Amino acid sequence: MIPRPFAALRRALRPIPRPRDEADDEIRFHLEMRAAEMIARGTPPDEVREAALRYFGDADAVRSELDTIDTWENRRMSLLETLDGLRTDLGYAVRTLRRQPALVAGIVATFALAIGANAAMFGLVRQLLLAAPPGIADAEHVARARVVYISEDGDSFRMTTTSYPAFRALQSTGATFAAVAATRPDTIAMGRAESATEVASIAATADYFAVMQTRPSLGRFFGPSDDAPPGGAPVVVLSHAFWKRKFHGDAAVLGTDVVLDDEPFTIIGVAPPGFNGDALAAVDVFIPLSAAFRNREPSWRTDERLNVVSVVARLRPGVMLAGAQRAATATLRTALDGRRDNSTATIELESVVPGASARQTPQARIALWLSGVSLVVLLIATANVATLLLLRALARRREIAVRIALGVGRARLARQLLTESLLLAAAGAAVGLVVARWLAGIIRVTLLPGLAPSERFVEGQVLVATAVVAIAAGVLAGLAPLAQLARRTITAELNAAGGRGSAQRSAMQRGLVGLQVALCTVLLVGAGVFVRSLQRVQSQDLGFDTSRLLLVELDFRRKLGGFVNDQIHVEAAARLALLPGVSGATVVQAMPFGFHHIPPISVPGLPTPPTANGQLPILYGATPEYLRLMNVKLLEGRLITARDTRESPLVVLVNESMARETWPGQSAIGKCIRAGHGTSFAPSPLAVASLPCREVVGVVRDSRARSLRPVGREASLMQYYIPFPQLPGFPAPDAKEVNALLVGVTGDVDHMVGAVQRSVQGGSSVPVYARVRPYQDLLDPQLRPWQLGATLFSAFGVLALGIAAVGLFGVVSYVVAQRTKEIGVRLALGASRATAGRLVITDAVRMVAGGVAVGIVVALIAAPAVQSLLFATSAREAVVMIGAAAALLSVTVVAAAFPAWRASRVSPMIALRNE
Amino acid sequence: MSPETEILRGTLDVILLRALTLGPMHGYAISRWIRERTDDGLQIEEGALYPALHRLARKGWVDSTWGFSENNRKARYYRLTSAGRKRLQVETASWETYVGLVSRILQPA
Repeated sequence: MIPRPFAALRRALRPIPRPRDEADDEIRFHLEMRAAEMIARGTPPDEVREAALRYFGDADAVRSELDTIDTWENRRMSLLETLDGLRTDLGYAVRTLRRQPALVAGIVATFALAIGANAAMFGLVRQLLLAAPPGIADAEHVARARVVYISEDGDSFRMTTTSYPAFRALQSTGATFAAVAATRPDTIAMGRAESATEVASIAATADYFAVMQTRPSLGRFFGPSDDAPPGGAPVVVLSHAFWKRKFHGDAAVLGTDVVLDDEPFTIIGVAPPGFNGDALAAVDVFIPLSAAFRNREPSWRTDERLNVVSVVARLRPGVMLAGAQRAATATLRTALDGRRDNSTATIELESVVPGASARQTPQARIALWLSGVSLVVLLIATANVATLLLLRALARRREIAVRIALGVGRARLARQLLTESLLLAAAGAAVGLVVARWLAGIIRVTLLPGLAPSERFVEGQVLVATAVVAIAAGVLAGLAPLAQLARRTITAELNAAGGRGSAQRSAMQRGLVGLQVALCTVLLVGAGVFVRSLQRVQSQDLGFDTSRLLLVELDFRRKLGGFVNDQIHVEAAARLALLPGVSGATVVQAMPFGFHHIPPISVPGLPTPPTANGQLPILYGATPEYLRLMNVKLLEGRLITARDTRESPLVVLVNESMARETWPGQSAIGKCIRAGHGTSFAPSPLAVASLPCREVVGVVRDSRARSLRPVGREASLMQYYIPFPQLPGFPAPDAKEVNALLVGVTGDVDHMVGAVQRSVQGGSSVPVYARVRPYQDLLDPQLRPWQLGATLFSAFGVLALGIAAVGLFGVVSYVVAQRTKEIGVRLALGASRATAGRLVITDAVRMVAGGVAVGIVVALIAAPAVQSLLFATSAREAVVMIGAAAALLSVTVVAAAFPAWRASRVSPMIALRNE
Repeated sequence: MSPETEILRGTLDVILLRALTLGPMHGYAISRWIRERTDDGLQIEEGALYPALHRLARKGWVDSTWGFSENNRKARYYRLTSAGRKRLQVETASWETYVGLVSRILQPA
């Protein structure tokens, strides 16, 4: 029998047969009665028919009018009936479910976690892959511009930033663009001195909000008069979320001042909720570009070589992206000639609505992975609920059989069972939405930083997707009991002997348990390999230890001379070194995983600069403190000391790779290296021979510089260290040499952030904002994919294991209840109680073992798909497979322990008397 | 015989409701009752009764069932609902007020 759960729905939706027949009958009856009356009064029969019709009027018109009225009426009645039936079913479902609160709570919680995980994932996927940034009207007409340049040797490279004159040129293509704006995302300091904090800003030209076509939720946006050269107006528009967070949504902030970059800015408006411009990341403030650049050299407006802004434009209606690209490219090439490569430059426009390219971002890949795994969890949860509902249906089989015997239709019973599972799924989905909100928050913070949280509780599309998932899960979970219902014969049930029938039933339960166990095994294997991979990434020897290092970058927000910049850094480092809890502090120019300095270099006797796999050596400016903090290990010669000053002989340290590759078979000590730019920015990577010789005084151990994955050219990078005072200068006058401060701490790095920031900001002679972060932050973006894999597989694996354990417990308990009699007989025949318990556990383990085997096979087959995401770990690692199997089997034993104990307590007398 | 009078718009409903106070009736019986009651004085197209009856059913003032007529033919019987009964009271009262007012105007001074 096919379950017919949708009978009610189908009846409500089917086309209502037009009640023409009934109308016909009614009219015919009238005419006949009228004719009979006239004949009785003596009207001649041949006139009767015509007379009756005359009295009646236009019969056809009446008939069609009746049709119209009755069709509507029928539809209304059938809908009412359906609703009534639904209400009855719902009421029945609620009443029966209320009797088993523990079961209901378990099922709702299972659904809530699984559906919540899926809703959260879909919300993130939607934001990354499907939806335009919120708050932009007609977003499909808004595009970001990129400039593709062709270099001299034929390489093409894509720039997301361009010059202000290029933006002005694009602005003149009036036939193509309705509005064009230049933007610059940045972070700026808010507040003064010690209390300054960092906020995310977008500096934009006057037309920015016209491009976005958005309306302020309060006040106004800035326009042309605010963005007028040279310095613009010091006005600021707050993002809605920032206004809520920082100003508690107080409308009175309009017209008041906030200090940005050490100058007061007037708040003129608040952006609509969710609006972050064209960015995915959260933005706090929007300011006019001219105001943001007021302290810069005025050349930013005129110099075509300064790539300082990104361009975003709104196409005129009817203009296609390809056409706009051609027009913009032509404009750019003709309008600008100050820079040679403009003649071959091409403009690419990319819609702000995520397209195919969005799927390539690491964030999107992360979100897609999470979605896949959460779907597996949903599958496990559904199988589990199906198991529980099945057990429940079996427990009620007498009741159901009686109802069938009493004439309740199977279709109706099916509908009731399905109503129950859908009701449970709906409750799960409702709780799930709360779970989703919470889960999405955690994932955003830990795994997808740089994604602005949604300001709405739930997006419409997410709600729809959640409803679809809930209905699918509810129907699927409800199908198992329905199939049972279809197969069952009344007499077999009423007899309740349960021979053949129970074998079939337990086959289905075993199948469902097997499915859960198999999926669980796959997730646990995944968790295992990702955790091992993460452990290996984290425990690999980088050559230095980041756990006690802080990085401090200073933001002066105004043009400072290089000398002053360096001086302030040196002073700050000296103050920091005295701070309690600080083990040392030094100025740095470049650092592993941070800024890189790769100046031209040459070695006498070699025609080309030394390279490893095409990569030039990386230079570090080193103080003795730097070498100590970065744990640079000496292999040969000596390290750099305080005696290596500007006036002393020029010296250099090289790493093993550089020594080995540059001077094969010889000692590097005493060799000569020339490095630096000479008098001008020469295009050649080869340092000119007029530069002074720097003598190699030491060889140090290799350390990792850029990649956590030492493959390809990252495997053996050449690195060298020059004493800070002897660093080769830049050709520009008064160029800065210090980029940051490196601070070693004795305790936990996070606890020192505040103290370090206060020391730098408070002690500085000029206003400064100090951005202090753990050195580990530099490595985190690379670590994240591995962390992600490990975290998500572990979390979902544990979740799935918990869900499966509940299912196992239910099934084993049921089986024990079924076999009470058999166990009683065995006990009566002299079997020990331990044997009875063992019997139950062995049975459970046998049931699970099949699932584990299937799961391991699936994991082995799927292994190549994740192999590329793993670090020095095989996706088929035996230890992991064994571990996963062991974990599942131990959970099985635990889940079966209580039913087994109960089996061992069976009293033979009672068990036998039960029959 | 009184002269035939065109039925006033809107009064058909109240007439039908009144007819059904006598008990369940099919459409033909209603039309016959009206003719007898008015000595054929009201000019009503008999066909017009049916849409009116179906509309009353839709409004919930009458409901209908199929039954068998006195000569054992299948016929649709209409019955006044309690909502219909209330409606009739309201309509009758307002009709009487209306007629009273109009006749006062029309009375020779």
